[in-house]
Amino acid sequence: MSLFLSYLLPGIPYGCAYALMAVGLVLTYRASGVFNLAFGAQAFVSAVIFSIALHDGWPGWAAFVVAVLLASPALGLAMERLLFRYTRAAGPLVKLVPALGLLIAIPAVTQMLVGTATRLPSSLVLQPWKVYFHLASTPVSGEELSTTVITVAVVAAFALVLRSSGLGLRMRAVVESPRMAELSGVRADRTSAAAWVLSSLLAGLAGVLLAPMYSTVASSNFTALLVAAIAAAAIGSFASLPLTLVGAIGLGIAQQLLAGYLPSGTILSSGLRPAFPFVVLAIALVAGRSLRSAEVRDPLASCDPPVHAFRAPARMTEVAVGSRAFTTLAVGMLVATTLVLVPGNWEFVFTLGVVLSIIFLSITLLTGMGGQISLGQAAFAGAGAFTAGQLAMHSVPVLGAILLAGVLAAALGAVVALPALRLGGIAVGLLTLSFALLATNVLFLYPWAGNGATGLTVPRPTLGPISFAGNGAFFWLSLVFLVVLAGAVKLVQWGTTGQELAALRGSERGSAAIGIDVRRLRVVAFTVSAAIAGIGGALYASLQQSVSVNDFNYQFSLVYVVVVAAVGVYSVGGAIEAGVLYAVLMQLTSTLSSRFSSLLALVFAVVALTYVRHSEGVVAYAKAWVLDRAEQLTRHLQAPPLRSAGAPGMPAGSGTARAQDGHPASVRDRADHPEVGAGGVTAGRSESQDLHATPRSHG
Amino acid sequence: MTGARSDTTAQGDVRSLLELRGVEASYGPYRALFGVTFSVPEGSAVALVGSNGAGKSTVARVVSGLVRAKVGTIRFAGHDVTRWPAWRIARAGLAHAPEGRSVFASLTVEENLILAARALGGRPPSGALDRAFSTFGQLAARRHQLAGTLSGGEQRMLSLAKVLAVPQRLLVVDEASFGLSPAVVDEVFDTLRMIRATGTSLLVVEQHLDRVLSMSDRAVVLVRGRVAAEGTVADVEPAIERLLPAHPQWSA
Ligand SMILES: Nc1ncnc2c1ncn2[C@@H]1O[C@H](COP(=O)(O)OP(=O)(O)OP(=O)(O)O)[C@@H](O)[C@H]1O
Ligand SMILES: [Mg+2]
Repeated sequence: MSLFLSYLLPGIPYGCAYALMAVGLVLTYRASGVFNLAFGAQAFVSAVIFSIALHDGWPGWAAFVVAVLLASPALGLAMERLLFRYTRAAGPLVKLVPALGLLIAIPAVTQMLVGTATRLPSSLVLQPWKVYFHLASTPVSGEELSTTVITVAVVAAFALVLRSSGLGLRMRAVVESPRMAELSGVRADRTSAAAWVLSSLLAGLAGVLLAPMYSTVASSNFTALLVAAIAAAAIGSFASLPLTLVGAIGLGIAQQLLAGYLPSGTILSSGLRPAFPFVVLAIALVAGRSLRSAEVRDPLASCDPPVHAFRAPARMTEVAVGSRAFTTLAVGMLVATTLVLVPGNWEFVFTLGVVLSIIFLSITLLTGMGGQISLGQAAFAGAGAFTAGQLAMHSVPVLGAILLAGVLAAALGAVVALPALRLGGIAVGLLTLSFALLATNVLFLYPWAGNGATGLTVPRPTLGPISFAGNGAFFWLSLVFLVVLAGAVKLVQWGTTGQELAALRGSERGSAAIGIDVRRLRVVAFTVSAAIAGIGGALYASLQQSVSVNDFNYQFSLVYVVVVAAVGVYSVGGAIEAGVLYAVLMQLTSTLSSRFSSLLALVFAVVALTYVRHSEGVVAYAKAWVLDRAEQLTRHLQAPPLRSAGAPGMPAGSGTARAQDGHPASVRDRADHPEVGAGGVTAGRSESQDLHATPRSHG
Repeated sequence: MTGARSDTTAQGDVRSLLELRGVEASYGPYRALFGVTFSVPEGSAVALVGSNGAGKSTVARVVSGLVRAKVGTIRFAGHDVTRWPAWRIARAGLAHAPEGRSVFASLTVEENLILAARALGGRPPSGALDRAFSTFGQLAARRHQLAGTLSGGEQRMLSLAKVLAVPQRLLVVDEASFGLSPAVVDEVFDTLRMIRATGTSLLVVEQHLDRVLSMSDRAVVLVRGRVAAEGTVADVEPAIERLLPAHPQWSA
């Protein structure tokens, strides 16, 4: 019995820390629909501030006030005001990408500001290591005691305040429809800001309370914590605070019990124990109710003007030809310089860019075209890489191994897709994230898979007499793979499957209603996407000639999504641009000092922050902007514009005036504003349009 | 009709509860309202009629602050509310039951009422819920059911019940009878009369012209974003015949 207790009791403070984070997650999710993955990073910031302040000789209470009561809520408020209040009506991807960007950016920025020197954590009220009393002969330390007491008190207080002040009710109303809440006199802005402030307070508290449990204040500790917190929140169906608390503490205890009772040195303890939180998360997601795709639409969304479709408008012929010529020229020059002019390591960098483009293509297909969020693409790539490595070790020809890697990754993709079938939106992302975590923390460590940190060696391929051992030859090989796969993705996009995927992205229920087999489609999308990622991963391994679990850490899955989304997730070109850009930036920053080594992550994170306004992708936006200007210029050079055309109040005829200037107006309009068919009224993007400008039929 | 307009837009007329002057509104680049001017006298019921797409819902949204007026002023209960956020206008006593679903689907019937009562009247005034439930017996039986699972008619009743729970100065209803069976339409209009009897003024957007005109004092006819006629129902009726010729076919 006392053995049992000695395993059980230390689990409680861990569970409490999970609970603080989980309750915070639930709060922001309930109030803004955002699954705030940057939560761990917020906890980290508070822990760093707290420990620096104590180091500088501040009294404990002052450090606490600054770190937990001021800094953390301020950060949360800034996030809500600057980013997430604009994502209320947006889809799950637009809500997710900024949070991921912050998850990468916040620790990177903190590190740049305070340096990478490790800091010893320090505890809050009680002396962390001092044993205050024994419970059934199990020592209870100050750390454990303060964490438990504070958590239970704080969570109870939160539950009470949410209930009695009506804040909980207002939050639920605001997340369904901020406008309708305002019609009931609720200040929607304040309500969601309050939720962010309160939840950030919890993040800060969790950070400060938890810091002493680890030997150093490192951001990775807090990110890992987040997984357990998400699992606890999933147990509470992302709604119930009491269930979340119970789930979190249960999780903490179960982890310690597993650690104590599982026979050490067996597969059970080496495999099951680390996998436990991810498995719980996956089960809770699939078995739970609330995250299933039962999203309620805002009935007042029609107050907003129509959004532009993510479809390139038909351009004037001159501009289209010009831009195609420019692209061809740029690509040609890039390839030429890569092959002829630049030193060896640049050749390597561009090859890496090509290989990454292939991996990114898998995101274009799955997320861009099909609207399915995956936070596990790096795991599929890793599975491909290790398959290729293992096969090559058993003397399978490398080219064949690369193709078989795609097959195995595809199978994995199908396996992951099956439980995801019941889920929608962000929940699919979380499920794939738990798969990625399982892969990097458990699967890839086995000698028969990734062989842990030692990794595998993967030779460069040969094809009959042709050897791809040289960097130049390998570049060509990767390029062939990229062209074939990109072409295949384009063919899918243009074909029936592409249309079905577009329908799936728009509305899963709507797709099902028009007779699309949504389940089959999702499995296909996951399978094909995983196959592409697997081939990309295998090529990556062969390019590097060795591969280990660190190349495909779960964090890369998050980085990939941010990068591709920021550059442009809706087009094949976007994946290629993202791949090359990422490889080049990685090369550039690797030559900078170690303190700025996170600059790369920072660059992409900042780009991701602009994503809220340009969710078609920042590069895609810039391109459209340039082409718009080019078009204006061309038109200006051809003929002076008809100024009065399309002015407010113009009666019938304004449509034809527009159509005179070089391109048929109706083509553009359909591409720009697919949902407005106001009686054949033509509509420009920038001019004010009179909606009532159709010819009078009566009166 | 011009005479009717001049007496309500006269300066400092304390008797008009709501007053729009030269209001223009757009959805992004699309303009929907052009210099809309009319008013709702205190204690009256005003019908806002027009064909589909004329801008009736846009007027309702501009009045309640959901859509910003780009040009013009809106005065409500003696305040210039043109730049006020929607929640502030709501707290000043203007209720807007928008077209389509106008209840919180993810809240229960009771929570819908509590939310409105709380935000508008501070603590839920004692008896607010009782008042609503005693009027709408069928809602009382479903107080713990999610509002999203109510039938269309019940949802309409719930959105009107919110107004009964906390009495408002002006109720703007947008197509309250849309998609309802004739018997339930009668019920909706009875409820509107009842709400008016409690002292709430009404601005009613409606396609059932006969029904709405028979319960209104005044009418505003909207044609393609402009006010084509305004005045007492008797004054405006010929204009309606002329501007909305299809109307006999619309009224049930
Ligand atoms: N979100 C929007 N974006 C662009 N245009 C809009 C939007 N909402 C309404 N409109 C346009 O504004 C005009 C007025 O619309 P409104 O909804 O006010 O008409 P209505 O009189 O209420 O019509 P109905 O009787 O069909 O409800 C219409 O031409 C409509 O297409
Ligand atoms: Mg309408």
